[in-house]
Amino acid sequence: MRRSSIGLFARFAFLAILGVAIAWSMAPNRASAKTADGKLLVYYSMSYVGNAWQTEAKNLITAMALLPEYVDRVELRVQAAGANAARQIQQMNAMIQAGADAILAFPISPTALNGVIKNACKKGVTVVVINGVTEPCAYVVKIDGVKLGAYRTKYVVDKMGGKGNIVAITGVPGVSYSEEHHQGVKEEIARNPDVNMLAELVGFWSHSTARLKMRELLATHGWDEIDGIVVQTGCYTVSQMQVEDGWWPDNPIIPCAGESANGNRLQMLPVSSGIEGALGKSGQSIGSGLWAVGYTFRVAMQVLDGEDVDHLIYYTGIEVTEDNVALCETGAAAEFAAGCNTIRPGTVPPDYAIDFWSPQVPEMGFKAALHGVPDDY
Amino acid sequence: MSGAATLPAVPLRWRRSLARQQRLFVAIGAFVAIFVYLDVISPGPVSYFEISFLFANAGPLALAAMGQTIVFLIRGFDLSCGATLSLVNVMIALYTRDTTHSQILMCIAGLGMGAAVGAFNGFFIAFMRLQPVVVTLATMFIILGLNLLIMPDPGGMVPYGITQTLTGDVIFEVLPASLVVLLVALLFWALIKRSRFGTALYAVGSNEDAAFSNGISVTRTKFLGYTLAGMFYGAGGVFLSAQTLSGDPLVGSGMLLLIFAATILGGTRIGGGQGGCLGTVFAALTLLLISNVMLVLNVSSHYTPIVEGAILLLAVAGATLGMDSPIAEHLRIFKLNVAGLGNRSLPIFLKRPEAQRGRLRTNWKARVSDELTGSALNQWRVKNWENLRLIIPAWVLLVVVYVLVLIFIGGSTWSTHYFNSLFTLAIFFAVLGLGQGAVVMTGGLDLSVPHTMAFTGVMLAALSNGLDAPAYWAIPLVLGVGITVGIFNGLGIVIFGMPAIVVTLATNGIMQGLGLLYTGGIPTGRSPPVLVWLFTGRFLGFAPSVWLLIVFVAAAIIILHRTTFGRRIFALGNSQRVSLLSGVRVDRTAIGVYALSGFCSALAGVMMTGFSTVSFLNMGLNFLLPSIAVVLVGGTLATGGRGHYVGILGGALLLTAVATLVTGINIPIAWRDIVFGLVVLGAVLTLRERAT
Repeated sequence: MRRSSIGLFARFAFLAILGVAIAWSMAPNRASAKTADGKLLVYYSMSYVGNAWQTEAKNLITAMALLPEYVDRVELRVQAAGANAARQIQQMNAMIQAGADAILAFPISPTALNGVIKNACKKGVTVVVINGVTEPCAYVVKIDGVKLGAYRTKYVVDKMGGKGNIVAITGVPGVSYSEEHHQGVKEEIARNPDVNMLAELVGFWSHSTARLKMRELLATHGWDEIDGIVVQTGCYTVSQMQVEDGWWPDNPIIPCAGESANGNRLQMLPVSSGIEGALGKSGQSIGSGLWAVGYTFRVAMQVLDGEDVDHLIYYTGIEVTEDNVALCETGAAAEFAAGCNTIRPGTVPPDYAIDFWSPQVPEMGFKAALHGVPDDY
Repeated sequence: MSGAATLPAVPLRWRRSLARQQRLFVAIGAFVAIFVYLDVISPGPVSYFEISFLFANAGPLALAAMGQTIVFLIRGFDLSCGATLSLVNVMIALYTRDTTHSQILMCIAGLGMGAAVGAFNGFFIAFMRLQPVVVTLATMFIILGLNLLIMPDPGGMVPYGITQTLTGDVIFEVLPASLVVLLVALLFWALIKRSRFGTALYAVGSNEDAAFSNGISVTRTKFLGYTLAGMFYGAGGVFLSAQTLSGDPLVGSGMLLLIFAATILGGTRIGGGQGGCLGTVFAALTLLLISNVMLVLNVSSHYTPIVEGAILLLAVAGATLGMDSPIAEHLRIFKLNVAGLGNRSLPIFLKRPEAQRGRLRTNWKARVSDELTGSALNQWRVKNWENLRLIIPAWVLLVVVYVLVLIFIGGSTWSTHYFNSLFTLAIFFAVLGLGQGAVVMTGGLDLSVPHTMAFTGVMLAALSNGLDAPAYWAIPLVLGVGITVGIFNGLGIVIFGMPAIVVTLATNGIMQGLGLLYTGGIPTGRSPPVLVWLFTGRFLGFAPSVWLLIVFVAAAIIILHRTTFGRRIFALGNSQRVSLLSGVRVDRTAIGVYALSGFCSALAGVMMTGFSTVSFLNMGLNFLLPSIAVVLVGGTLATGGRGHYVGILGGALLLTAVATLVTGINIPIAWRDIVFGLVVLGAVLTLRERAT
C-alpha cells in the first residue's frame, strides 16, 4: 500500500511540476489575447507544415503583413494544425476566443471547417480561406480546378497534334482541388477522340511520389508510348527522368503541362543558354496559386477596412511556356512585374514554386517567398 | 520511504481503489491541469460557449477512441477506425433527407455501418484467427477505396436537424447536447462493463487461456468486441457529420494517430485487460486543448510538431511514472550495480561456484526425430516447414501477379527491364521491411519511419550538395543519425516503459520538426552522383541498386537468422520473461531492434535521396503503412516471435508488383486502394494456421 500511494503521489507531483514548468515558460506571453496596442489581430491557420510550398505560403503571408501599408496596424500570428481536422477546428475556435479580427485558413478538410467558420462569422470575425469550404459567410479565394486541368491538357493535346497517349498525375485522391483538376483533364481528353489516357498516377503533390509512380508505370510501359503529360505536380521530375534514362537528347522531352516549379521553367530554357538544367523543352507552367495565399491577407484587410469584397474570388495563374520563359536577375518584385518568371539555379531547389508574384500582390518578390520579408524591408 | 509518513492518512479501501485507477486519475489530472492552466492565462473566465464547443469538437475523436479502447482491451489494434469515421460521414452526407424520419434512420444506419465494419474485422480476427494489425490495415485500405467510390471529393449536405440535436443545447447556456451524447456513450459503456460481456472483455484481454478455462467464449467475445468498437466508430462518424455539416472521404484518416494517442493517454494498456473509456474521453479533450495551449503560447509553426511530440511523451511518461514503473526498476538496478562496483563483487546470483558452471556445460545430444527420415529433400522440408509455411504465400502470390502482368500488359514485361524496375522499386520496402520486421517480431511498431527517412535524406542532400567527396562521411553520419533516433525510441520504450506506438509517434513528430528547423522549411542541396548512379547506371545488365538489394538481402538474412542478436529478437518476441530468465539481455536487444529500424529508415532515406536526385521534407510520406504491410504479408506475426526475412522480401516484391500492375493497366484510382487491401487480406488468409 505504501508503495502505491507513493507512486500516486509521485505521479501527481510530476504533473504538478509539469504544469508549473509550462506555466513558467509561458509567463512572458501572458498578455496573449487581443493586442494591447490596438493593432488588428490576424491569424493564419496552416494545415500541414511538411513541404516547401507550405513554407513559401507562410512566408508570403508574413511578408504581406510587413508591407508599409499594414505593418503599423496589424499583428499576424501563424499556427499549424497538422493533418488533423479536429485540431484545426479547435485551433480556429481558440483564435476566435483570443480576439482575432480575421482568420486566414488553409483548410485540411474543405467541409469540416463549416461549423467553426459559421461561429466565427457570428462573432464578427472575418474568415478568408484558400481553395475550399462551402460556408457562404467565409471569403474564399479559389482556383477553378476544372478549368485549369482542361487548360493544361489542351496545351499538351495541341503539342501532340491532337492524337496520342497522355499520362496524368493527380494530387491527393479525395481532395476537392485534386479531383476538380483531374476532372478537367478527363473532360479535355474526352473532347479529343484521338487522345487516349494511358495512365493516371497518384502523385500526392510531391515530386518524390510522382517519380515513384512514374517508375512503376515505366516498369510496364516505355517513354515511346507516352506523347504528353499533364500533372498537378511533377513536370520537373518527369522531364529529369527522361534525361536520366537517356531518352533525351535523342528524342525531344515529352511535352508536359503542370506546376510552377523553378526547375520546370529552367528546363524550358534553350540548352545554348548554358544555364544548368536547361533542356530546351516544350512545356507549360501555371502555378496553382501560391501568390493567392498572400492575397488572402490583402482580402482580409480589404474586408476589415470596410471595402466591398466578393465572397468567392476565382483566380488564375500566369502562364509560362517555352515562348515566354525569362530568367530574373535578383528576383525582386519589380523584375517580375517587368516580365521575368524564373530564378537562377542553385539559389533554390528545383521544386521551389515560383508563382509568388501576381498583379494582385505586386510587392511579393523572391525575398518574400524565401525569407518572409518584402523587398525593401 | 519517509515520504509516505507525510502523506495524510487515507483509508485503505480508498488507497486500494486509487492504486487500481492510477492511470485514469492521471488522464483526468492532465485534463484538469491543462484546463486550469488555460483558464488562468486566458483573459476572462471560460465561457459556456467554449466548453460547449470543446465537447462538440472532441465528440467524434472521443467516440472513435472509445471504440479503439475496447479493441485495446481485448489485445487488439484497429487501423481502420479513421476510415470508418469517413465512411459513415460520407454516407450520411449523401443519403440523409431533410425529414425527421430519414435523419433518425440514417443515424441508426450510421451505427449499423460502423458495426458492420467492426464485424468484418471481428470475423477475420476472431474466427479466422488473423492478426488484428493486418486485418484492420486491409480493411482500412478497402474502406478508403469505398469512400472515394461513394464520394470522390468532399461535399454533400447533412440536414441541420442532426446538427441541432447532437451539437446544440439541451438546456440553453447550461447543458450542451454534445456533453449529453458523451455522457450517454459513457453510461452505455458503464452498463457493458458491468455486464457479463464486459467481464469477458477484460478477462480475454488479461489472459485468453484463463478466460477460456473459466468458460468464456474467447472467439465470441472478440467478435462482439470488434463489432461494438465498430459501433462506436459509427457513432463518431454520425457525430462528425453533425459537427461538419457535410461529408469528406478523407477527414477520418487524419484523425487516426490522434485516436491512438487519446486511447493510450486515457490509460488503456495496449497489451489488453486494463483501462476503460472514461479516461479515453478525458484524454481526447486534453489532446484537443493542446491546440489552445499552442495558440496561447504563440508557438512558431516550425516548432509545432516538436512541442506536440514532447507533450505527448511527457503526458504518457506521467501516466507510467511511479515506484513500480520501469524507470524506477532501472534506477534500482543501476544503484545495485553502482554499489556492486564499490564492493568489487558480483551480485549473489552471479557468484556461481566454478564446479557448478562446469556442470552446466552438458553435452546435449540431438534426439533423432522420427520425422527426420527419408530423402535429404524431405528432411530439409520437415526441418524448415515452419519457415516455409510463412514464406511461400507471398512468393506464390507474386508469381500469380506476375502472370497477370504478362496477360494484361504483354510480352514486353518478360524482360530484364521489368525486373530491373521491380527490384529497384522494391528495395525501399525491402530495407524498411527489415527494420519494421525486427520491431514487429518483438511485438512493437515503429511509426517514426516517415520523418526519420525524410530527415536523413534532407540532411544528406544538404551536406553533400551534389558532390561525391562529402558523401563518404555524410552517408555514415546520417546513418548514425538514424541509429541515434532508433536508440532514442528504444530508450523511451525500455527505460520508461512507454508503449512503442506512442514513443515512435512522438519521435516522428520531433523528427518532422527537426527537419523543418534544419532546412528552414525549404530543403536545398542535391544527392551525391554516386547515389544517383545506383538507380540510373548499369552494372552487369541491371541497375547497381539491384545488386545492392541482393547484398542487403544476404546481410538481412544473416542478421535475423544467423546471429545471436537475431535469435534474441525471436526470443524476445516469444516471451520477454522467458528470454530474461534464459539470460537474454532483454533491454539491450529491444534497444538494438529500434536502432536497427532507425538505421533502415536512414538507409531508405539515403537511397530515396539518390533515387529522387534531390530531397524533400515529405519524402517518407507514403512509406509507413506499406512498410508494415510488407512485413505482415511476408508472414511475420505481429505479436512477435515468428517470421522470416525471405517472406518479408516476398512481401516487398509482391506489393511492388501489384503497384506496377494496377498502374500499368490503369485501374480506377479508388479501386487501387481496394485491390491493395484485398491482396493484403488474401495473402494473410493463405498464411492462416490450419486448425489442428
